[in-house]
Amino acid sequence: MSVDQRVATYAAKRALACAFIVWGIATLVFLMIKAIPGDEAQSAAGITATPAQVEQVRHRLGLDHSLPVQYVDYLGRLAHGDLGTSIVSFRPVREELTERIPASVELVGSAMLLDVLVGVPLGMLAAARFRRTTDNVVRWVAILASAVPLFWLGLMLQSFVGLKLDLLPLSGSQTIGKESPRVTGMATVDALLAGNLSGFGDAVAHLVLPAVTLSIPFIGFVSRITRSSIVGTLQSDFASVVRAKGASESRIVVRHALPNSLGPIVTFAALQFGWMFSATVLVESIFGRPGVGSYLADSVTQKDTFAVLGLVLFIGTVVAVASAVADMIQLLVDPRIRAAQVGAPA
Amino acid sequence: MTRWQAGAQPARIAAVVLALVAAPALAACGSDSTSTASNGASLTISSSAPPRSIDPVLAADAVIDEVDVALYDNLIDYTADGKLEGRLAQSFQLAPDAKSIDITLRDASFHDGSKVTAEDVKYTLDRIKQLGVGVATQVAEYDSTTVKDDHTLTINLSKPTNVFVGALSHVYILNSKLVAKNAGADAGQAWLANNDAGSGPYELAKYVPTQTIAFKRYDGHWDPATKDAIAQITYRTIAESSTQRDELLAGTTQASENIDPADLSQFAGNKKFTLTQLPKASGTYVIFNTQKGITANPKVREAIRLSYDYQAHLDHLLGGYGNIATGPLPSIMPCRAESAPAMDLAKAKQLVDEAGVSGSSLKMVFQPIFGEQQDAATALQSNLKQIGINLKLQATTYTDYLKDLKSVDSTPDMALIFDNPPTADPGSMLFTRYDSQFVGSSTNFSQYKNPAFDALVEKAITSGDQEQACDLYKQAQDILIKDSVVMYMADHATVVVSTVKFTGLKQFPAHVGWVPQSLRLG
Amino acid sequence: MTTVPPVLDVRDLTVDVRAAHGPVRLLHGVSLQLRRGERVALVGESGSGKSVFARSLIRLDDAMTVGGSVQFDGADLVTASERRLREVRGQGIGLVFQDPLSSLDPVKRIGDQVMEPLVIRGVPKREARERARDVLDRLGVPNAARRMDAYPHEFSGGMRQRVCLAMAIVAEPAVLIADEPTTALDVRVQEQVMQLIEEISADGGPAVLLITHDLGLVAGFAHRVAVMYAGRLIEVAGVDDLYADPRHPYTRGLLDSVPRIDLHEGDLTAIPGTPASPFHPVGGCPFHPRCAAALEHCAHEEPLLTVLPSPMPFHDRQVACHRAGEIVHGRTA
Ligand SMILES: Nc1ncnc2c1ncn2[C@@H]1O[C@H](COP(=O)(O)OP(=O)(O)O)[C@@H](O)[C@H]1O
Ligand SMILES: [Mg+2]
Repeated sequence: MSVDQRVATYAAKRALACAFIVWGIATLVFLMIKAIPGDEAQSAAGITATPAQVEQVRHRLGLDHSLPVQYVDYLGRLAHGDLGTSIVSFRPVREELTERIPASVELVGSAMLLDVLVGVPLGMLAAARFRRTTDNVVRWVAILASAVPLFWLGLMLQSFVGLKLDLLPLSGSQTIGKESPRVTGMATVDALLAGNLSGFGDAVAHLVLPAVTLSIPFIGFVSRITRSSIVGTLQSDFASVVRAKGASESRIVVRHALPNSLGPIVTFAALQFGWMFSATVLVESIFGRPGVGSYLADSVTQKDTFAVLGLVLFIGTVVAVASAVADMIQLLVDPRIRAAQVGAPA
Repeated sequence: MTRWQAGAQPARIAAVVLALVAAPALAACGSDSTSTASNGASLTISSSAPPRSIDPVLAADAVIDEVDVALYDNLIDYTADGKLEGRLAQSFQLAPDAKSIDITLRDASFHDGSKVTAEDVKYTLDRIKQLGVGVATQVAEYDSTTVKDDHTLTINLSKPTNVFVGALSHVYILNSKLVAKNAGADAGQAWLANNDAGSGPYELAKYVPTQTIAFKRYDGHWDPATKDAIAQITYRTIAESSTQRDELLAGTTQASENIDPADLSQFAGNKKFTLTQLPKASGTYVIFNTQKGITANPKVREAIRLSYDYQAHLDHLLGGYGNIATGPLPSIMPCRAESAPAMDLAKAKQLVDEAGVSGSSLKMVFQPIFGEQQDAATALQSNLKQIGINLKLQATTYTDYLKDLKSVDSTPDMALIFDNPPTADPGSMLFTRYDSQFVGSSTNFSQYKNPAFDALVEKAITSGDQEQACDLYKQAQDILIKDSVVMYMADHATVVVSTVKFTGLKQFPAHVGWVPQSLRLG
Repeated sequence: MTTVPPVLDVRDLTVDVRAAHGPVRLLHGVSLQLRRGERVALVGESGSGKSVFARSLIRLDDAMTVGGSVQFDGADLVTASERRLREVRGQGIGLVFQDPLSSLDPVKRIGDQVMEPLVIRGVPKREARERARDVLDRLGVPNAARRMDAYPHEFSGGMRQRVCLAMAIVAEPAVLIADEPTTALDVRVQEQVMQLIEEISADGGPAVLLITHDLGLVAGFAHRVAVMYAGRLIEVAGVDDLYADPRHPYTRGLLDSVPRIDLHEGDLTAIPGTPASPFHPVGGCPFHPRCAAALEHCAHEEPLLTVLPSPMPFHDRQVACHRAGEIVHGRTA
């Protein structure tokens, strides 16, 4: 078997593990929701419903079956991509999610991009200037950034950049009237697909403040992880060897320390996906963006079982896939891990 | 050996970077198209929560109702001053036995041009019954519809009730052919969630779920009064009230609603904003367990009612927006009995002594997620201390509270809650909240049991004569007041903040939100 | 030999590190010259400061403050700019470290790592690759062209050290410093590596400073030997003089602890006492607490490294011991 084939086999195994994790998440959330006290049929029918109406709703939602039956039903539907029906809106959860997920993905994706593009270099800079002024400044800024309340930060940015300076729109995901036909549901991507440059500009302008707000605390985290991981690598012997070859500090950091430190950074970034999706609730609320954050909060308070399930499943899948991707990246970057996982090359 | 690095494509990367950098600039160039709102033709309103669906079967939800009231017509509605009025129903008549309603429809057409017929009414009501959700609980007595011809029909009820007539204000008539065409297996729920099948004064011009709802005036509407309604109304979802404020200041929206009273101070004092207060069919109440413990004694309940500073509640907890409650029903409801409570600690103390309960303890639950409840609970606690009653506060959630109501024993001594009548009919509140047949069923919060009261309300509900019913309701409320069954604290208000002048901003008893077609600019 | 100008001329090199309670001196004015073609061994127990010496020549550690002077190629490396230093590192002075595994970047291909000193200096990739292959070939890496695509973990210890040697000499430095290059290797491979270093330094190759705590390696290899103790050179001598007639009791101790075929294992004597630590300096001669020949005087006055007259021309030797005159074969007469 060639190395390529072995890597493919590993990827397949990893994907299978991923599927197992998702199944585990589905099961866990199902059990959790069933464990919450309160009658689902009653809350679905509303407090004023007559007992007969409650029973009717119970039957319609299949809540009158035993738990195992409900669970099997649920998994069966899941296999067909059916996430069930919201007990609040009576719409297919999948449909509701497709309305909200793209906007959140757009937000989280761009925040993650900022996070990595700013946080990692910042951490590299601090590491290269270990224990010097730049390092100290970056460290304090990073601590501040990761401690700043998202909510406050969002409001500040909004009223300063949006209102006072009037540089960027305050809220929404695009100006009404500038929308492009919905393809992906992500305003920026749809505008590009439609070749609508001014619409794209408009969507990006709307995205800047929320993405910056969401990314700032995470930039703090990522830069600290990057810094400590690179500092560790820079103290290893081979960093001295590279220095003794005449390499500049930046070459050592970029060409050697970074690839060696990528493991923890990538793993951490993958975890951040999950946190970011949960943090969208505040950002989306401040910047009037539709998304999964408020949907999750809403669904939890309304005991909208299938909506919560669908959403947690989605976020869980994102995290599971992200961590699988992180593993693959490590595999590609680190030959030792490659050797351990797929065997030494021929 | 495999190569792991993907070939870099510098030109492509540069293009993307350029696009990202240039994007805000591009946006700035073309962003002058938004400020055409204040020419009277259109209005953009920010609202805090988007509807999860706009299917009229769910119009029991205030947010959904606010959309449907514009897109659809109901058969009957309450006018702003609380009178029942035919809408699609040219005329309606409740049978003397209160078991059926005869209706004649007026000439009206749906947005696709087809006529509104009796079949559409039947389809709508049958669908509500079949689905059993949302407004179904309000029209639970619906049995069937007999269609006589395109314009005449009879709605048959399973048991006598006149509350049903008022409940029809939330029954929005669907274009049955259009819905049937898109019905699927779910009686059109998924389709109606995002689409309009109505005959209302507005059509759905554009709907981006969770973000924007744009209405366009429907010029084929039967009601001449809607001819000069605002041509275009857009709702934008903006959850944060400070963001709503900033958008108003920036001129991208012209009005905001649903702003939490606690956030209103952000607007007060700024001359750019006009704050309009609309009374709302909802209020703050303290519910007593009338079956158990010392609160079973009316004297104790009266003492508690007399101990509270209602004016301070209005001034400080509601920032002056709203009203001191003057009866068991919110002030905009018809058929009310009134008796405003006033603080009288001396009398309260005397009642406590008479009842011999000085020094006893009571437990009150409240929902800490609401600032008003939290503050009111603490205030009441310190007031009760002065009359010798020790009030223990306990946080709860609404769901848990409803569970506690399943039996008299688990019902807390007192509960501080927000409540609103299920429909605009006074009977909808008086019957489900206080009739003894609902003891232990989660809707009779006080677990109140009084045959005299039951007799009055049950007679009122089954009466075919609205006037007579109204009179009976007032008598029933007098009993509640005299018996101190409930401590009504404050009536809530909707505060609309705007940067433009409106007229026609009125509260309609059947609709918690506002009614867009009643608005006029200028 | 003394007439040849030194390629590397270290004078009074001091190195300090910051510690919790102020600076700690690791090197106390070390002077050592390396001439073209010369192979010098720097020996001493572990912790005596040999590595610090090697690293501070090209100022590898930011945390260390270097004083004195290091003349190399017309510049004083102690005061040279970072830029000038980077030129010298790798191209002027090559360094090989003790542990070949940790000396290699685990995620980079061998070839890229060997090429790096050239690539840094702008040598075109193709040429750099060729030169790297040549060097690896020369150092006996079988299948060098193919093995350049492999990663460090795929190499054996000996092969890795060859790679490290290749990295150090690929840019053809004038000085090669090998810091315990064989310590981490098994005995059989040790000899091969020493052999290679010797070959490298032959005809026109770099001057070599071999750092080791193992005097056994030194005999057949070095021309001169410098003995370090407590951050000081305490004896510098031609290799034959040193073995034949060590003057410092510490040197004698080191020689005694070298396993020799003609002695039984039981006779092997390690130097008694604990090695000096820069963090707990003692007054006087740093070796006096462990010295059998110490006089009271030794505890108060530090002996300077002084030239001893040698019976043989050009073979003057230096020793830092108050009793150097009386000592023959490292023992008082
Ligand atoms: N970076 C450093 N900071 C503090 N002390 C150090 C540092 N490097 C080496 N030392 C100390 O300097 C002394 C000499 O170390 P070293 O040169 O590594 O000895 P060796 O002769 O075994 O190579 C030791 O006591 C060691 O603890
Ligand atoms: Mg060492």
